Amino acid sequence: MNMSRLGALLMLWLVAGSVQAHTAGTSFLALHAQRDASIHAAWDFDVRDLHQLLGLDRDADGVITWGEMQSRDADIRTLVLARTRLRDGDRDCSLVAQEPLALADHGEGPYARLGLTFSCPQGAGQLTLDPSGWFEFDPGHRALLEYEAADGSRTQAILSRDAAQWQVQESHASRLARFLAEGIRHLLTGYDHLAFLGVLLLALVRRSRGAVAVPLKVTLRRALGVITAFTIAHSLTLGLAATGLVRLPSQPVEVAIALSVLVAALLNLRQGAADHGWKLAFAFGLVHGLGFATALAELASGRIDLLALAAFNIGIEAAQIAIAAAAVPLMWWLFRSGRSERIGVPLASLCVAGLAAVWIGLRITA
Amino acid sequence: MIRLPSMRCCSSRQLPALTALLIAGFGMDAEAAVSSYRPADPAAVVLRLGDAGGEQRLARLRAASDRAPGDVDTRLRYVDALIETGARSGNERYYGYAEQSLGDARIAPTPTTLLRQAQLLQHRHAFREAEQVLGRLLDRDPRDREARLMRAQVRLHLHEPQQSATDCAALASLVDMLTTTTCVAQARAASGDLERAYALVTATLQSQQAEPATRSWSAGVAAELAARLGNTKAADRWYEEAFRLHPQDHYVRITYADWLMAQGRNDAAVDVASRGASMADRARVVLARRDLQSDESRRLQLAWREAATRGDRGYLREQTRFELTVRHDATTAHVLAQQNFHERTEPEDALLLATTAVATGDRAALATVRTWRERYRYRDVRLDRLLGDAS
Repeated sequence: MNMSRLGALLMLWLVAGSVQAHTAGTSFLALHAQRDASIHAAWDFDVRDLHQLLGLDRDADGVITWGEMQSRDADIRTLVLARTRLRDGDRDCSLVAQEPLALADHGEGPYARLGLTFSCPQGAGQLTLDPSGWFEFDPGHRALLEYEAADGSRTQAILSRDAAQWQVQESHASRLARFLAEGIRHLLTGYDHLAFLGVLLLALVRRSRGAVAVPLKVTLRRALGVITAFTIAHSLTLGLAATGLVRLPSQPVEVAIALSVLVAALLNLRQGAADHGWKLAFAFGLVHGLGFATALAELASGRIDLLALAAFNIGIEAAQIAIAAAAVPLMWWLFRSGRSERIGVPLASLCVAGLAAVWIGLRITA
Repeated sequence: MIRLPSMRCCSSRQLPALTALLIAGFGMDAEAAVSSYRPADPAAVVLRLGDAGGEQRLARLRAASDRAPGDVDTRLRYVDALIETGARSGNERYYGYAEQSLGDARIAPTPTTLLRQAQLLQHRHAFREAEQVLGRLLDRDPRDREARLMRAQVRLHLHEPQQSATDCAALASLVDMLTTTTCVAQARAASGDLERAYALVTATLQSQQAEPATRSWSAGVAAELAARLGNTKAADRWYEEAFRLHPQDHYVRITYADWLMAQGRNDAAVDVASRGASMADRARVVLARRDLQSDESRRLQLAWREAATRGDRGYLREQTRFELTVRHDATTAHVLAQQNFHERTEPEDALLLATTAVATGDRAALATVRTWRERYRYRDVRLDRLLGDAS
């Protein structure tokens, strides 16, 4: 070794004593869980790190331009996805959408931002982020993670060589709340279930010829009976389907649900439909339960436990009771006179029957 | 690093400032804080690498190393280039790249790879581990001058001046006189004998020739000793010479900029620090300009928040100075100085804590610094003045 080399090293050793402001490599990894179980990622990587790995300065003029970065867009994406893994259980999440390459100016300099959308069918409960490829490249690298759950709650984590992975830690309470909310949401946005519930409730105010309207209190009690029968029935089949004991393809189930709406609506055309309300609710509830099972399976496929099943069911039941509590008094008031009941209930039922017929057609041809 | 267990953090009146700092540091929404954009012009400059020649050389060496992954010499050339780039630019990530490249299992350990390993260990302040690696090298070859000089430096950081002096003495027959005497002077200064250390290094500087990098190092040591002795004029001259001989060196540059700021020569400090582009260079430009509002100042503050989020405390010195001299918030500065002293207890950290302790009237913190000074027999007239017992 010549003296020049020794002198140069002297300068380096001095740096240790000074303890400079360290600029360890950092990446910023933001994840946002969506309601549809997809994950949106906004990942920022230091342009210096990308250059070190890919050699972005194509013309070697000491300047990296936006054009030079764009020309290596595909390489940047390949590199990032190889070193930053998003897993769903033991499988990689699949990339379903990519936004154009962009820049983000962090405090230490320019970063390349990749906006990516991943499909993670098991949902956020099993999500694992593993950026360990970056620690292999730079042991001092830090990945700053910010995860926003579908309910808006946020988690931050610092990943390093010693703690290279991060996994969603969903508490029992959070999981319970999530499935409860999903049960409510599924019923409120499930128009066929709502239509079925609607015609069942309409049946409660249908009277025999010449009969007088029963008191509201009695109608409400009958409504509770109908809803309970529907809940017991759909809970049975939901449980059987969700635990895998019964497996049916979704198309015939969907057709059968629409058919149940049609039949229930048509039965309302004859007077005295209120007499068989709970029996009908129970019989067709078995079919609707199979439909709920499909939705639950999408939310938590492969990981349906008793807690999730119960919470989802309670959510459905709560939504049904809320709807009945609002709709039954309104129907009772609207159809309390004989004429309005004789005309209004069949007319509304016919409308629902027509809608159900359309659904049947669409679902058969789908 | 030496930590003082008696360190007290945060009186009740400092809690609001500490809370604000924690919120600023940890309440960051990374995605929301930094918005993205796409330049319209493909020719828009995203990043200036600073040294096109150096980058080209790095790229060539990296490619050569990739082509021959098991070739130790090729790999070492790449590692050395990375270390040199890190030292020149002040950018830590190059040391990370070097460490990773050196840690490749395909590279068989040799005395040279072990030396680089020790170099990287001491750089990230794993001084005891570095000393052990160097000890193994010197057991094998006592005449390994690089290992000997490096261990002398490492032992200074371990507050072992006697052992450091032994290594320095062993250098006499291995390296030039200026290197040996500067090494010895450092060890003497660490033992409290500032006057003789200064006399030794300046006498040798005036009588001996050496290559610019070595001379710059020696001049930097002389400058520091002069400053500690209160000889401002001499310190100014030696700092200027160290910088003139090696202006591209990151450490020399920021040390000189700090000295100029301490002398109130902020415009000159801006000129010096503007020659670099590291975070430390940028921080000194902002500090010297008393710049609170510019885009660059905001970017720097964002960098500190991001650093705090990732648990990096390396910016606390600059951030303390920013709070004290730019934002004029002595309370927050003092909280930061205390946090910094909890992490690092080097002379600069003690000076900073004493400064903020004086500004906030925190006698307990001053007592902590006094204890530190006595424990390490550290002499510096600037610290003496702050502690109120200058002779």
